[in-house]
Amino acid sequence: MGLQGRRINLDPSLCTGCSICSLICSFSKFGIFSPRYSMIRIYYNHEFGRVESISICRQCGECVDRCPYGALRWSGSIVTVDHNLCRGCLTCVHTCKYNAFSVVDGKPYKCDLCNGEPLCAKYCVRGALYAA
Amino acid sequence: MQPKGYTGRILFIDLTKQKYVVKPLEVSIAKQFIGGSGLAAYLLWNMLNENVHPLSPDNVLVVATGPATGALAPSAGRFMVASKSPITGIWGESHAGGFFGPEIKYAGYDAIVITGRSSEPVSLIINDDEVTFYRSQHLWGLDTRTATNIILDSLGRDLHVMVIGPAGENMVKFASIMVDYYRALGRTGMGAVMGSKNLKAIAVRGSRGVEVHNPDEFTKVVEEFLYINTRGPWALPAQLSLGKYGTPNLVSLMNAIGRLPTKNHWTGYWEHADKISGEALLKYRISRGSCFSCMIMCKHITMVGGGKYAGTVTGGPEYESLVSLGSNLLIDNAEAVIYMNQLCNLYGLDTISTGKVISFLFECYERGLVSEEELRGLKPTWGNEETAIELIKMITYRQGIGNVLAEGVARAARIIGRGSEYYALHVKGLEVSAQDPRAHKSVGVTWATSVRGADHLRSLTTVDELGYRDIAIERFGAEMANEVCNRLSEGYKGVVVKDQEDLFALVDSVIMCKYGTMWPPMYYFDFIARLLYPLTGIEEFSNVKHLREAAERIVNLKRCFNLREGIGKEYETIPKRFTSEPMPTGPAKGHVCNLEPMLKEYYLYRRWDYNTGLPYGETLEELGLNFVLVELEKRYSLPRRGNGGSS
Amino acid sequence: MVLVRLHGVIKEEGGIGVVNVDAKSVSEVLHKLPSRIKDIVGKYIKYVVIVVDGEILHVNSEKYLEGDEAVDIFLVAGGG
Repeated sequence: MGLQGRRINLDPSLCTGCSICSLICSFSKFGIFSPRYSMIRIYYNHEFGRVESISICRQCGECVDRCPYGALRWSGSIVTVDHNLCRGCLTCVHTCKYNAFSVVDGKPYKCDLCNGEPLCAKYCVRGALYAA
Repeated sequence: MQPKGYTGRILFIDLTKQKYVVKPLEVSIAKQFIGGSGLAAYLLWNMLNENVHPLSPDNVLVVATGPATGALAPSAGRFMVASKSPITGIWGESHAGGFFGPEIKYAGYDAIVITGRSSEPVSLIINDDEVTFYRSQHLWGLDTRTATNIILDSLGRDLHVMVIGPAGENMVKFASIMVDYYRALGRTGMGAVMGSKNLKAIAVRGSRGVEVHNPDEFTKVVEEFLYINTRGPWALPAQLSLGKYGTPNLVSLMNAIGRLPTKNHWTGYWEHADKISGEALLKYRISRGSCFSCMIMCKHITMVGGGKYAGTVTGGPEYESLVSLGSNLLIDNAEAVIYMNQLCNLYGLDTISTGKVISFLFECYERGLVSEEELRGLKPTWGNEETAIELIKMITYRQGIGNVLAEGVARAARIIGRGSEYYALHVKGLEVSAQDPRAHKSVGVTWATSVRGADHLRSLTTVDELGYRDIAIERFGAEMANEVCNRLSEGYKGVVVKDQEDLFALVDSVIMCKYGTMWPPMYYFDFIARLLYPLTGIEEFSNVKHLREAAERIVNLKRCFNLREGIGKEYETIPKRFTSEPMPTGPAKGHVCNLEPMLKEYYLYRRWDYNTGLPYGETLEELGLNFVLVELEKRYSLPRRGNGGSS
Repeated sequence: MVLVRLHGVIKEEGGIGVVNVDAKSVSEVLHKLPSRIKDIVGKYIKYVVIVVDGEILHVNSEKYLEGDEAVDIFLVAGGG
């Protein structure tokens, strides 16, 4: 199956707020465990045990249109960042409606669906996260 | 080379001077004591002595993480606090899950060491390198939920908070600290230590991460973690029993084996157990949650929607709380138990000790050991939920008989007198947990030897609980397996408990959860070795022998901490109820716990002298604890293996 | 007749908590359970714990049951 039109989705009724998605994301991209580096961040209310919101790229492409340096581009139906072209102006970060970017060392990073096998979904043992 | 996994930094905070300083975590200390409980033991051994009163400014509160905390490793959200315990006067420690521990690491610290006493209520707000002494008069007196919400609303929802309630402020000897609302640092009165320091809360936010020595190798560990939890032999029961029902799942099972403490531990079987079972509680559940980086996910949130207790929303109740506040008091109304659990969480009381001081009073009343005058109209009769609820409030605010109970069951019995000591179920001053040594013999030696008093979490063994033959063979050999697996036999339980205590000392230092190690028995020393080396790059950690030695070092250091306080073998016993009152009803009927042979075996394998209750000098030397040996020899003549003593 | 009490997911999936079975051993009990319950127990057989009057018996146990015992069937769990 190709990646056309796919993005990460969350079923909030299954999410337990364990943070494993964020941990595997930051580890696979940066070799470090830090939910704040992660390109998926789930805001979980521990008082009532429910998901409040999720920050994840919807692959809408608005940042592609706004990037002054052409660093954000479509690869098929996935938006990717070319860090060779990026000058760290963070226009994309401010543009994004979904707060989907993480900024590490001044450069923006975003979900690229891990080349077809999103690790956040693979490691979500409850099946709350899925690519579709 | 600076190891990874650790941040290499310890934050020292002086509340009296309102100053803080960061000092390095020495690599040699990390190698010897790992982190968490081991690191705390090392720090407290050096910073305290026998003259420090637990509620004085001189007592030290250590908040510690381990090398795995904050990483993607089994239940790596856990952290611990340690101090000299106000309820026992000896080694006190308590662990919690949630999300607070990782945040300490992300802020850049392996541990926070708190000394002194603030002149007014204060909270510590830690944002990476910045530590703020936050005036907290407005939070003083508030329950844990309200205080948590005010901190989050005013300072940022991405903080993680540990906080005490009124019980901690009033220095109830078994006050807890609540973390992220419902995770409790419950036992040994750590909340009272915070209260004595005028410290209401600690809130942390960190922007860094946990680095890994060898990411490629660590990826294999992460994959093994996923495999164990999805396709391993324990994956399905872990999900369908512990995960689905949470720890309340144990109520029916423990009742079936006659190990469900009932009526102040009078017996181990209760005909109404199904009213507070995991199945009964399922209908109140509004959320299945989990701690940080956990694939078992046993943390649930419960709500009572209607009736007398409508509006109750609380984490849990866990098995221990259900027993302590339910079967132990003969209260069969699940909604009342959920409500009491919420009250304890809001006031910041340990549910285990709270239930056990209340059941103590109920039994004293039944036996005519307390006067109506002392009770001032209170009717402490079995199953009386109104009285139990009233007592929780009276304990928190130290009113009437509540002020006596707030001292813990051992002191309360000394105050009440009249033979009530017999019904005060504790070891070394800490109220007993929800097991029964008559129905599960190894619990006797677990309670007797536990460094923090009668407690399941230092060495409760499960290999004998239901009898896991494969695990018994793997760990103790085929010859011992049958005897090991028999929970009603004392055979080999000294060695089994010693082995489990070592495993838990390591687990508490790494830090991982008892779920995954105690039950299901998925992770043992070998997994921890595979985890720690690629994480930290400390080569010794790849060696199971080194890890076992480190675990023994940690256990020995904590036991020596108690010896320094004068608490030795004469206190390593269990209440007479379990050794001389045969179990009156249920499947374990007629059984008593014969402690001595297990204790003797434990001492033998611990390499301590059974006669004097002291470690052999050689034992401490072999473990590299010469600094402990030197100090202990100032007050004890430590036996030598070469010159007599049982060996 | 032996009283069989089902617990946890076995009870939930089967929709029934208690059944009476005419059997003289645990192995016979498991054999003679109503077919729907038998299928569920079969599905989890590797993880099933059978407790008879506090004693944990193997699923193949032929130990003689008098008839007044209760047989509890759990999915394995543990701890404290």
